[in-house]
Amino acid sequence: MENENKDCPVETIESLTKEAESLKKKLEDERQKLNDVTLATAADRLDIINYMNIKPRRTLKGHQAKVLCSDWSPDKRHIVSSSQDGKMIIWDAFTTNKEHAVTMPTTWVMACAYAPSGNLVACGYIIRDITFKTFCVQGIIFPFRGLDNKVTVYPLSLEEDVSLKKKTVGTHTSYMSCCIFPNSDQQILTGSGDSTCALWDVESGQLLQSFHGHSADVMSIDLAPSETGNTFVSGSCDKMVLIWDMRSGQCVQSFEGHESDVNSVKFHPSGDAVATGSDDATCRLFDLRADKEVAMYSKESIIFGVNSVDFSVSGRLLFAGYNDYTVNVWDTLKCVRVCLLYGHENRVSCLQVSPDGTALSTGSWDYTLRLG
Amino acid sequence: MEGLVREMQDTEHGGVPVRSQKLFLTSIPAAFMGYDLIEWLMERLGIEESEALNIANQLCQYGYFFPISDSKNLVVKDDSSLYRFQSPYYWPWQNRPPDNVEYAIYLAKRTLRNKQRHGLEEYELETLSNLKKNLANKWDFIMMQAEEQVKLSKVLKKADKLISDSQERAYWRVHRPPPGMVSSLEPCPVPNRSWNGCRIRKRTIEDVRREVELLKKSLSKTRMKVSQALDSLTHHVEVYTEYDPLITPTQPSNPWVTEDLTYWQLNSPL
Repeated sequence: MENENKDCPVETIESLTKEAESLKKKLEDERQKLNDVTLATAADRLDIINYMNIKPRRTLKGHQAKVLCSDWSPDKRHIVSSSQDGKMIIWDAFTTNKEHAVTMPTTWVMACAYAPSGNLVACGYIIRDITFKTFCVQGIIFPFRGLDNKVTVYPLSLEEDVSLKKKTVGTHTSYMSCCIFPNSDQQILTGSGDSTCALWDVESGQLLQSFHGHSADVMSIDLAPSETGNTFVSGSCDKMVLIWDMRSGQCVQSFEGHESDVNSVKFHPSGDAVATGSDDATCRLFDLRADKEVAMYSKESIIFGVNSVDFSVSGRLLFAGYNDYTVNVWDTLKCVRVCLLYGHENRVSCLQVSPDGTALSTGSWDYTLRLG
Repeated sequence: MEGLVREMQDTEHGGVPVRSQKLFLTSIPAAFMGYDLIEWLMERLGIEESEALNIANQLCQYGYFFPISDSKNLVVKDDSSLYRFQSPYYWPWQNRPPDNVEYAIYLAKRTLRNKQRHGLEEYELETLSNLKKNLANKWDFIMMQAEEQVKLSKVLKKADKLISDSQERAYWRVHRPPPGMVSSLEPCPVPNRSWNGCRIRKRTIEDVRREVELLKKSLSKTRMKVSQALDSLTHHVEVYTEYDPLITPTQPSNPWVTEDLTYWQLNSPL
């Protein structure tokens, strides 16, 4: 091996892998020692959920291709969505009107996100460099005028403004699969197909911190729901879920269990657990303090992969969008399915509960977004 | 997914009943009926009809079985319409996605056979001529293969031929859908994340060393009893359930439901 460390020649990949295996076993034993109760029994005393306020109420039509990502604005009624047609659209979801449409230089717009102020959106897309046959991705930030109560009509020229003010923030060596603004408009956190996550400074476009640990494409990231949130979670095609400290760049916790790619991760509103959705057709709940998987949400009749998950504001409900065009709603505590939502005509690619918890948005490969 | 389909095909041990079906005096070999399939799914998985129908349609989209009388739409109906299982050879996860040479052979083969039964659709004719242009250097080989396969198929019995023809046709219906149709097999819209690709990169010594370090750290970490952790999780949820508009009705009303903006106005920051 060329890259072997010369200081400790005894260490080889084999010996280290073996060591890792034995450590894993020990860790599993430790975790089992404290495993005294299942979630379903712990939640036995709770009432079942009988009020479910979900029905298709809005359909956002306008994309010409698969919707790949969407995000709610902090104002609770706008949504930004990105699609394979190369457009990023900002919707007034309440009236279903399109407010802006921004055309990207490519059709592979993988990710989009609103900034906490509601005045910025970010998106990531792929540029194909034919000469080198590599893919690189640029994160682009578009500032646009926020919705303040007084302004109701936008000048037509605004669209040009939007494109002019764009700014390239960072470049990964592979596609960018997800992005979020942690806490402020100043920084952006991205996950990428190059198996790393990165924290960028929006103003200067500089890389502030990179996060190494996954061995395959990072598919999803989510921020811990606390004011000072310096922790985030990432899910990857290496089936692992990792918890990171944003300041040190260190991975602080790891969860195994999924049998296939982890497509989506989401923090429980309490901040003490994360839910995941995977290609193995299951969703799981990992508790950070118990340091282990505490629940698995699956049914024999669910045989297709999960693309996206999100919690209701209390954390009682978990919504999961599947490849079989459906959305399953799980009772996170009793570990049973509450209901099954139909509506889309192709895979459900993204799904998110609005910031005040009043609505659920889903985006699909059938080119539409729906709200309920 | 494939396990379920295998179970379905296991006619002797409670699979979906497959037999020759009589339809207007003609007999259709190796077929099963829509409602038999739906009923089987409902019973096997303990689910409602709507969910069974959805699963059946999905499996059909992936090409595990196909409607016999309709070669265009891959839709399963809960009635007496007839379906046939796809041979495992053609299952989507058995092989790599087919290339254009194979498709060209298949199309060329059909042009060599009885026009009435094997005639090409318009979109297929168009693709064939396009393929001919693009694969001009391989065209002799393609035609040779096609002729060979036609010769081989003549040896088969009529019923077997009928079945394998329909299975082949259904296979291409899934992999080369007519324009405007959706295909479930479309890979993810990401270059290096296709479903047959090898995605996990080789781990370097750095990666393993990092993992060992993390595992050591995790071992010395203090953890909570699961019961304790779950208790606090449950407690958190209980406290907030009252404020969860999707579980507890909001006051005065949810704007998405009633179109009344009062809720947002009341809750807007001052």
